[in-house]
Amino acid sequence: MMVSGNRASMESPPVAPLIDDDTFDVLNAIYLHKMATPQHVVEVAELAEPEVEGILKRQQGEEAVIDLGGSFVLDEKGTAKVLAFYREVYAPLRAQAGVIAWYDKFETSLNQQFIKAVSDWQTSAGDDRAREKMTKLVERMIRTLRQLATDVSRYEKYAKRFERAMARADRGDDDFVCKPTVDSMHNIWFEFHEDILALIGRPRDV
Amino acid sequence: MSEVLETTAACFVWDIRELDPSDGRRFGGKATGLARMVAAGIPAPPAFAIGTDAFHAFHANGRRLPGALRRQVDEAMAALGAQAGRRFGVAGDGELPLLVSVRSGAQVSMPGMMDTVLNLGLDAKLAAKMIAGAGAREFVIDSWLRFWKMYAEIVLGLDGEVLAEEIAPQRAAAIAGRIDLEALEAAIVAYVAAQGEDASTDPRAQLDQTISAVFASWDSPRAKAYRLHHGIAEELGTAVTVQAMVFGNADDNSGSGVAFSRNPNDGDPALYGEYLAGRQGEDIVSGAKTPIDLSRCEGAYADLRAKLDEHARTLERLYGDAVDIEFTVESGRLYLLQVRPAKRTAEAAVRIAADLVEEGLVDPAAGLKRVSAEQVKRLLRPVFDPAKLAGARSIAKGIGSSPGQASGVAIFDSDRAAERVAAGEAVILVRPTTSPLDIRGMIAAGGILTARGGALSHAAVVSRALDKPCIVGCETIEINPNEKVFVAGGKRYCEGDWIAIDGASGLVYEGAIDLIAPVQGARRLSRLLEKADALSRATIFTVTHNGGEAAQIEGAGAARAMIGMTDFALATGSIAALIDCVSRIGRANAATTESGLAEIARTLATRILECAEAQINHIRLPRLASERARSLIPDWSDLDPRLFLPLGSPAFYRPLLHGLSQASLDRDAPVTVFLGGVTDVGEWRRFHDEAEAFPNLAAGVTVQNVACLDAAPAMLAEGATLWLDMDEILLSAHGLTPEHYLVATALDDYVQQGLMSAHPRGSLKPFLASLLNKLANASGAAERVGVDCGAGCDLGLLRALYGEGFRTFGVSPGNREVVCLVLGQEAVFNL
Repeated sequence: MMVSGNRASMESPPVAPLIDDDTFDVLNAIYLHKMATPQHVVEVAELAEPEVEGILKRQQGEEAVIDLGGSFVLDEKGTAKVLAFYREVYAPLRAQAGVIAWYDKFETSLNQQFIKAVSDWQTSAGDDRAREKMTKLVERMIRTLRQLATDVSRYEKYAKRFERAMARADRGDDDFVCKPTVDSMHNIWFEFHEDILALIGRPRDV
Repeated sequence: MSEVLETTAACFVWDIRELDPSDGRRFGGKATGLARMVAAGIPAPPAFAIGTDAFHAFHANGRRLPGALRRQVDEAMAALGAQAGRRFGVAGDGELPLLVSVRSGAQVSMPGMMDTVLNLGLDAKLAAKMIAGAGAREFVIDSWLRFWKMYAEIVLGLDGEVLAEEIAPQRAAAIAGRIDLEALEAAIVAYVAAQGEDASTDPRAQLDQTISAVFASWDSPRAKAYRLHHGIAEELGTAVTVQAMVFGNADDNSGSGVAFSRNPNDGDPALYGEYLAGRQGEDIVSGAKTPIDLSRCEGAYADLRAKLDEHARTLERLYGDAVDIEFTVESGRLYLLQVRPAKRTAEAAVRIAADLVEEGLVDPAAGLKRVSAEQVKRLLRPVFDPAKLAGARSIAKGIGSSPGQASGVAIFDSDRAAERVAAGEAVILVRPTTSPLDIRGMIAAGGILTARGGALSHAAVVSRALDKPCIVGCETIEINPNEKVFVAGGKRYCEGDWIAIDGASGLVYEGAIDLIAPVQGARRLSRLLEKADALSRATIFTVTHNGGEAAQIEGAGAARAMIGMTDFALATGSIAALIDCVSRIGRANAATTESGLAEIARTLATRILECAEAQINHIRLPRLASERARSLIPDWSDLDPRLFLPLGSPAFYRPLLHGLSQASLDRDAPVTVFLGGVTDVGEWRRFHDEAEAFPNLAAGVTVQNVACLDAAPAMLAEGATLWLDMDEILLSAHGLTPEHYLVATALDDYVQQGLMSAHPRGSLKPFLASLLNKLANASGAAERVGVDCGAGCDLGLLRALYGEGFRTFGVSPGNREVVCLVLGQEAVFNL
């Protein structure tokens, strides 16, 4: 099934009004990052700064986000909005074999290989081969993510984030491999993992 | 003559035994490294290099291999075969075909370049011959498919993993003998064709394509971006190395292994490694079979060990470092396949560097480069006090996934963990598992404990990135985050209960265990740091910046100390008395107040001189205009305003000087007293006269702002001793508040957002650099100007200031070793 933007065509309308795609992108960026600056949201949601600020202001008014001095976290209402969007908008995809098969393959092959490669790199005091292996897996991830971008167009944004992090890591900025406080390859990977779990409605294991 | 020149110019291919190892530009790092090894008598499989001339000819020929190159490759492959006793692309009955590896080799290695294609030289017929000759059907098929995977990925630009998955059924059938190798090959070719690529099954054509792919990978977007960023010339180009493959599973007298010239865990100078008889190298990595321990000299392998040991010594001399070696024995003949500087733990790094210098293998300058500041920090990381550990009760064991030891109160929720840490508590975050949603708590906590997940879980990877102790997969504990309890060994532990974790052993303990400085490795480190000090010619003072650091001074063995009176008052609990006296200045009973102040100063100074046991003592006077004074003194704004000026109130500084002088006389230890906050040479003159009127005291100035930095050369010319308080200078230069500056993460985040071109802590604005440069070049600066880099000493700034010519540095008690190493390395760098 082809889904335009984030939204799948739905057979029955949801009970409560859902947030729009841009608002979801903003709130979801905070949801996945736990605490995010507007700058981070601008980068990952690919929205203009005034737009992000406008949405944050509105959501603050609706008690969905809390401003902790320049960084935003979700309030309970915000988390509920994000989860409702996942549940309602992606319901048709959850019934679709293609996305589930994609996820199962990702989980059992790419995901495990990548985490192992990052771990090998960390425990080998920066071995070049472990690093190359890891980067190759990110390149594969970018390719395979784009297969999914026809169903979930916003997944293209993860591909771009991976490319940016990889370019920084290539230049010798090791923080962009797995440091959790910058948009590192490992960080993006884990945020994507949370995203796809929420999308297909699976509880997180480990 | 012209014919000779033409022949030389057209020579693209060089036997590894004949090329010039100093010509890195033409042959690249891999080939020259190999050539050096071969020249030193190391047995490597036969190989040849294709120089960068061929790369240029390839481009000049419209990105096609020139005919002359192809002819030379033919000759070189024949010569390689002759050395290896095999032929390429041909095999008679019982004869093994020649397989080769093809590697790229630029002068500088860079991301995005084609790396390696292994096992090139098989097609269905040759693979069948190989099976007939050597047996091991599954091994031959897997070696061949390994080639196809790499070839598909690197040469054809396909996804090698997907290819492997797609043809998995045919592979299984071929191994079981249900289909022949031609059918397997046809399946591969069909898959490649379906992806829109053309694949040749002829090894000779594959070799040409692979060489072309190496040349073309020079222009990959990642490689181009990398060169642009690092200023590497586009026209450099890449070389190619082609090397015969050898097989550890050829017969009973074959095998593979890895060896380290020294133990990579503790640095013990003895060969360390493993050997797997009858197997190829990959089997060691996969742990498929139990290998032979080479560090034990087992009878049948004593000869192999002796040979490896001899080669390891040769290689250490070549590399000037400990090395790791991948090797294969083929039919009784030893080949070294790959040699690299060995990866090692922090403990091993320090021991190896100290030993290499003492064995005369490298000079002290090279020895220092073998250790990083990170490794020294790691080595000196506080550990559980062994006396306390002996009495501690272990309550559970999980998988130690990020080393380090920590105690803290158990907290079950990440947000709460962040809050409790912000309130000043030590916290261990205890979670069933972690996800990105826990990141705040993970960053804040001193350690992390999870019940589920393995060494590859989110908690493990993130805590290693954060360099925090972490235990995962601790399945014997039951965590209930909602009730804020966990149960271990039948006992309930609630939120706020103290626990301790060891991220290496995976053990969880009940209660807190004190941390102390490690003893292990400290002696070797100090041997190495003596060399660093000799190279840098730097003088190091131990400096305190707060009460915590002042408390660490006792027994630290500092030869030179620069101590703040306020820091010490905080550490010894006399801050309230000091504040009380200060608050009474300018009110009734002036004489009582002044004698009280003098007595406090005398007591404090006596304690300072006792605790520090330094030969040279610098003491900083309290500065009442500081942000810290403002937060410490209740009713600060009601103080006599003259107290906020450095020399505004003689009733304040004279009693202090008197007390300091008394203590100095009592202990027979001269003291230099430092006044902060001044900006003018006139203030220095007055302070000099005031301080030096007291017996045994000398005067100095702490430079804390830009105006004072500007006046510093004039003060120096008049005999002042100066300390540059870099934290304060940078604060005043940027107009930052101490909160923003000292709570590093806030400013780090701000800089990370790209709002500032450089971090104020790590780099100097041009006007600051120019003022510092002027001071550094003033006469007497090396002896009488000290640089105090602050509590969060930035190593980049430290290097820059050393580069300016400063030679006296002040460091926090725990930072001395790292700073000595970095200054020594900087001296080597500037040699």
